[in-house]
Amino acid sequence: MTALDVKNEARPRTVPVAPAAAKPPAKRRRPTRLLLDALPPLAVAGVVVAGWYAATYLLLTPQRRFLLPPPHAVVQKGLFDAQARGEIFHAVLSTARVAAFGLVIASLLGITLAIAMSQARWVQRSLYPWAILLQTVPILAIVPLIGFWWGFDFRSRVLVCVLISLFPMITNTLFGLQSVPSGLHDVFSIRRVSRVSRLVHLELPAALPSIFTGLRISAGLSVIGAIVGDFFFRQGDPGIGRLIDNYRAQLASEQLFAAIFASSLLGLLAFLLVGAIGNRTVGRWHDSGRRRP
Amino acid sequence: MTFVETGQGVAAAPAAILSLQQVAKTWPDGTHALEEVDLDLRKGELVTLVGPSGCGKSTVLRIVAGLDAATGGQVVVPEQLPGFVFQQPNLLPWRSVVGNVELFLQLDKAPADARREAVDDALELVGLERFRDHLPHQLSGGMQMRAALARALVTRPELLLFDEPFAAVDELLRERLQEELSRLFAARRFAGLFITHSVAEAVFLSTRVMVMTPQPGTIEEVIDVPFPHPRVAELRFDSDFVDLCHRVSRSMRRAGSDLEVENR
Repeated sequence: MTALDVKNEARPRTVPVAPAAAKPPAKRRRPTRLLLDALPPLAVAGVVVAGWYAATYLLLTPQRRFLLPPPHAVVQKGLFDAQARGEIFHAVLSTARVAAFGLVIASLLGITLAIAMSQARWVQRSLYPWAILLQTVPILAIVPLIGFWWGFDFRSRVLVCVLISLFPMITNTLFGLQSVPSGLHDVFSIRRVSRVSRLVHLELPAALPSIFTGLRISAGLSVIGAIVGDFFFRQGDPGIGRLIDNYRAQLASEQLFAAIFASSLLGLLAFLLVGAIGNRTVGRWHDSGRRRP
Repeated sequence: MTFVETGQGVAAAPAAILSLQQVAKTWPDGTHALEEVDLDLRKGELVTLVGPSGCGKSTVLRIVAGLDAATGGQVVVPEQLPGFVFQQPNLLPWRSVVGNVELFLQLDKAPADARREAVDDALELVGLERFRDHLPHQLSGGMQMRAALARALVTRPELLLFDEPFAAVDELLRERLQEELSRLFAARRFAGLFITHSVAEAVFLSTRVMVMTPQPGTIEEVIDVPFPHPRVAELRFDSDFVDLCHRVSRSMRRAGSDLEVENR
């Protein structure tokens, strides 16, 4: 009984080739491959910047150039002007805090609700329509009401984040819990295991890739929620949304663009961070983790 | 249906650890899946149920495993939960080979050192010691099937159930796995109930072949296979072996022809 049968298998991904190679193979990532992957999106960025310059200098007269300042002016203000840089940094930090709080609450709540729905048909029947309602009611329409009820500061901002990012957490977790292959369920059925054991050892681990898919979507949404909250709730620590609005009012267009970029960066960062955690957790065994975004 | 939890002795012969008497199964839509299935299984016996697809072989196995309930007759199963080897390896993809093999012991909350010993033992039995830390996707199909075997063996069950475990692998590997199973059987002397639609597999593995007829599924003929375990590859070219295969084939053909007549 040796590993001789390896050749018989039609699985191109299987790694151990020789009986001696009994160690799990390490992941490889060559720098050249990384560079090749980065090249196409960088080329697109080049085209966009060129188009931007063209629009600034060819389409706009000097008097109207404040509508679209050239890229280097935005970079200069955003990165090298100490005052603007400090303002933007602090605002982004404050927004990140709100978004992170919202995301944590939304994911805990979403996963809990999804587990409850997966355990009993009647729970799902009674709750799921309301979860859909959460998705279809325009959050922007109830934001003023939230402020009216809960005040115009941190708490309300977090609540907006929760409302906006809860639905993807519920649906993705529920989908993951309910799409465990029946063959794996059989393995637990023959042992007559309890519901809790089945949940802990089978359904939750199997749902992790879906949970991370939900987290990736919700992370971006939570940042959006935090910025939306900023526009409506003007008390407390000012976030990037409020700063953007202030810069607009002051016609400080270089700062305005820099702030917009900073907020996009925050969204991207949230997405990448959650993605990296997901890769570490499930990438080892799940296909989606092995592919790169 | 009466369901007795512990095995009851049959006079003279060693006690059957699994016994089906007049077992019947009717699906809610009225289809008679099984009728009058009788089966006694003792330790050291490997019985194969062979028959055309749709004859209810797998239903027998699912009833024995408690995954389905019989609608008639009597089923006596051992108190200890049987080991079950599925058609697919059905390994948890996030657990390493060790993690998969020790799953049942972990669910039963077995103490750590007993767990380790049983796992090492099972891995050695299927020859996967050096692949213990691999994840299922890093293994070939044959090794995945061996890991699934180790998982079924780790609780040291007296009764092992096999639901066409080698149906999805290629011919050469299938024969090698059959030889390994024969060795395992010789070493552990459990009671085995094996489902297959391959006549050669049935004769090679079992001490007794039971041919089933479909619609409703019932036992057509019982054929004893005298060759001692462990059986080796050369047995397949033995004339006695080939004759037995022919006998089972003919029996199966008779069983199948009933079906064709009925369908016409």
